[in-house]
Amino acid sequence: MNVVPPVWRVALVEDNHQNREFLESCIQGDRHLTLVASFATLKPAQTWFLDHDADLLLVDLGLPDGSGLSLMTQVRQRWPHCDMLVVSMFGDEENVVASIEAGAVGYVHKDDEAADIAQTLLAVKQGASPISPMIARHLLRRMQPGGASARVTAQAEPEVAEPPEVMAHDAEGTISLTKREQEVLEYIARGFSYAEIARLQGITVHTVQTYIKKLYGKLAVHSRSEAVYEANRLGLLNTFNSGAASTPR
Amino acid sequence: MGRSFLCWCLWRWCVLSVFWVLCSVQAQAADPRQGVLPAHPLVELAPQDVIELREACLTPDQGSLTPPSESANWLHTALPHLWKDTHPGYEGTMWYRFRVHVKEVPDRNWGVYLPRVVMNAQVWVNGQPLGYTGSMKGTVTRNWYVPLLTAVQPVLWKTGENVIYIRVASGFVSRNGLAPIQVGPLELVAKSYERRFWLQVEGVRVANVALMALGVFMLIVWSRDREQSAIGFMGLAAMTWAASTLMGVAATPHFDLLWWENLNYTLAVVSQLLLCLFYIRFAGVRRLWVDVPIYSMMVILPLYGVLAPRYWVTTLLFGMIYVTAIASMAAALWHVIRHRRKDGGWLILGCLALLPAGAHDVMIMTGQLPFDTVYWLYFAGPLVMICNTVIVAGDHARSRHALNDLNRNLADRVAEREAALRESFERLAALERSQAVSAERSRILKDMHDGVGAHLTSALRQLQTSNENPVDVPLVAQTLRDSLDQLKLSIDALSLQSGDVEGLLASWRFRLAPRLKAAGIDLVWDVERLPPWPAGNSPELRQLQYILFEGLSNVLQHSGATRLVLSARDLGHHIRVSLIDNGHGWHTTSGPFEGQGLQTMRSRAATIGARMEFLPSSNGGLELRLSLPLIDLNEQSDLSSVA
Repeated sequence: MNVVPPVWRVALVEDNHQNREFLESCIQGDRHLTLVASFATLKPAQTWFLDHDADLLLVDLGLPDGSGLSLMTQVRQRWPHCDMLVVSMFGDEENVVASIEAGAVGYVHKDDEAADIAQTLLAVKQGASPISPMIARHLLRRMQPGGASARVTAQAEPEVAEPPEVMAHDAEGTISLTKREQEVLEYIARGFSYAEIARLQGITVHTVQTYIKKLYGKLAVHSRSEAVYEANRLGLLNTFNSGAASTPR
Repeated sequence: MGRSFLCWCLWRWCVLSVFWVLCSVQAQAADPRQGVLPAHPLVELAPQDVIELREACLTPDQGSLTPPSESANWLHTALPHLWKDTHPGYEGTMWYRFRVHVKEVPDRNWGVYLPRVVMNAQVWVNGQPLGYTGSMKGTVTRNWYVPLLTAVQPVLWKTGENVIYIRVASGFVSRNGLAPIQVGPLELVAKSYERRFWLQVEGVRVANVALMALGVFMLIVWSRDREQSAIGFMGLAAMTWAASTLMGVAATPHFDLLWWENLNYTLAVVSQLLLCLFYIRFAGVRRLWVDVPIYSMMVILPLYGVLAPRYWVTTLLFGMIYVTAIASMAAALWHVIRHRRKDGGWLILGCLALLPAGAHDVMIMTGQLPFDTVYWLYFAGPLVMICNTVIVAGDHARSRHALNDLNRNLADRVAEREAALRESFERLAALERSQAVSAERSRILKDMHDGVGAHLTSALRQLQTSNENPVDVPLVAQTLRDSLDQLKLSIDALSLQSGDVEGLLASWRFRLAPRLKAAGIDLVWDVERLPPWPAGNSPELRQLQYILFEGLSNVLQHSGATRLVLSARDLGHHIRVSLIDNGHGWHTTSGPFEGQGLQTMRSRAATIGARMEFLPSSNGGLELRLSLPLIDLNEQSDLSSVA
């Protein structure tokens, strides 16, 4: 029995008219993708996502009325199954890491070929996540003692990979990587392709992609745990708790 | 003015002391009381008062255990009496007889009080022997400086004439004799006895035990600071002085009498000479010709004491020591006056106490002062040491204060220096930040000029076409794509750590792989672990990016290759980066543009200290080989010269 490939619903937010049209054409040009919404600014997109969902969100960070990060935060809370990608001009580590921590699972360059963009969107839905060597090096630096935040640590490889949420962070909110995840990250940082890494590690390309996507998830969870920590520190959660306790009986 | 006056006072005081001694000698020589008389006047005893008996008759013991008879050869004498005056060289026992008249027999005990008798004595009243302290024969108990009191019961007295005998036993090298005795009601006599007992026995012991403790303390102080030899001499002087005194007034020797007396004498000599050394050191004098005579005296005088003790010679030797002491004291006093030394007044006070005390005691020993006079040096010694201790304590206090002041000043200076350093560091940091910003601005401008700017300018020129030359759209697109790639590489370079060639190559692949894929060229990634490139700071890494970018452009435009190998090896002394294609190989007929591109690459390689070569590849293509030195060029030449 033939299985009909799904058609993924894509929402697009890009302020540059030509780029938006180009991206729309990329989406519409692939039969497994369909464009369900396209916005030039943040507010309409936020409003639309109050009542609608999508399988994929392609969003620019620098929008005229705000940052695409706030939209990603909203969508991640309301539509957790929606995979989000960032439209980046350079794929620089500052913006990409911020996007990942906001819940993005990948990014596309504005100057990528149309086919490449569509391919990236489909690959994300199939479990892959793009990552550049510079981003990988940035994360590895953070793993070193006394690194940028020193919040990422390596752990021995468990026999069975656990869900990211379970081992994404320890009690102190520190990101924990398995030994295999760290090795994959190091290979990427050294410029090896997914296929080369798979061959060197004796695993499939899909597994490599899974590791990367898992890493993205851990970063996002880590980001969330930091947010909870900050909220606790600022007393926001206590306020909610005390409010519930003080409800009149 | 003040200094001269003080010197004059001291000099006058010394002269008066000597004058006093000489006068006393003359007075003693003219004493008319001594004489050979058969009897002395009968003294009437008062029932309620103490009577001092200043005359007596004496006769040497003839071997009987009872008082000699009236027919014995009694000699009348005034008291105090020294044996050497009437019986020179006599040793043994001497009887003293006192005749007193009692009107009425007392109804309570009376006492016979001997303030000073050398060496030991026993009292007889009306032929009845009374008790005595210690031994009267053999090693006679050393009661030479111990006042004796004997209680006499009323039944032993009778109305009318009574006879009191004092039997005196001589001692070892001592001035045997008897001072005037006192007779009267026991409670009245006991008061005088107790006062004198404290002055001659108890007080001396207390003062000198304290002096011993002081000496130990001073020695401990000296042991922690050996350079303070004055304190060491003072501690030793105090200890030997105290030991000598305590031995001197001890009634019972703890070992053989001969050794006891010699040790006592030795300690006395040594203590006084050590005190001289203290004064000399205090004066800041440290001369061998001064020290040697004093050390010699410490050895010679005790030897003399052991071999041939003579009382008068010993007295003279003590006089010699006193002269030495006076000279050393004078030096110390001069030092105090000349340098206005802090706490010098205490030294002057000690000297003023010691000098008359020494003169006083010498006069006792030479017979210029009454035989029963109390010695002063037993108390003056501890007083002098206390004065000296005050000086040491003052020095210590001043040192502490000076140290505290120094620490405070030092802390203040350190704080000032720290503040100055902090300010300097802040200025330097600000300067460095400013320089870093300036350098980064220059680098970005150069990047813009060499990378994006150059490609955008080229694209503009390519679009400014004429009718003869239509726009080559693919060429313009390629130029613009080159511009974007350069921009991305430039952004990646911002994140590269210094020396990170591995990261640079990874970034190069990530950014340019789509171009290779579009050109249908397979890329073989052969990059091993690379060490940091020491010279690879941000500008050098960016130059390396340009060279590799240009190399790839050449491959894409001119080589016709289908396979490209990027190889990077750590060869110990350098990193070798190779870009190897399987294209047409080297073209010597390259055009002027291509030639200029190669020259630019070589120029960039020379700028960063790298060696760049074009080598024929084994598969017919071309290898662009870059060698990045891992060892400083100077070190490399050193190694070569060693080899």
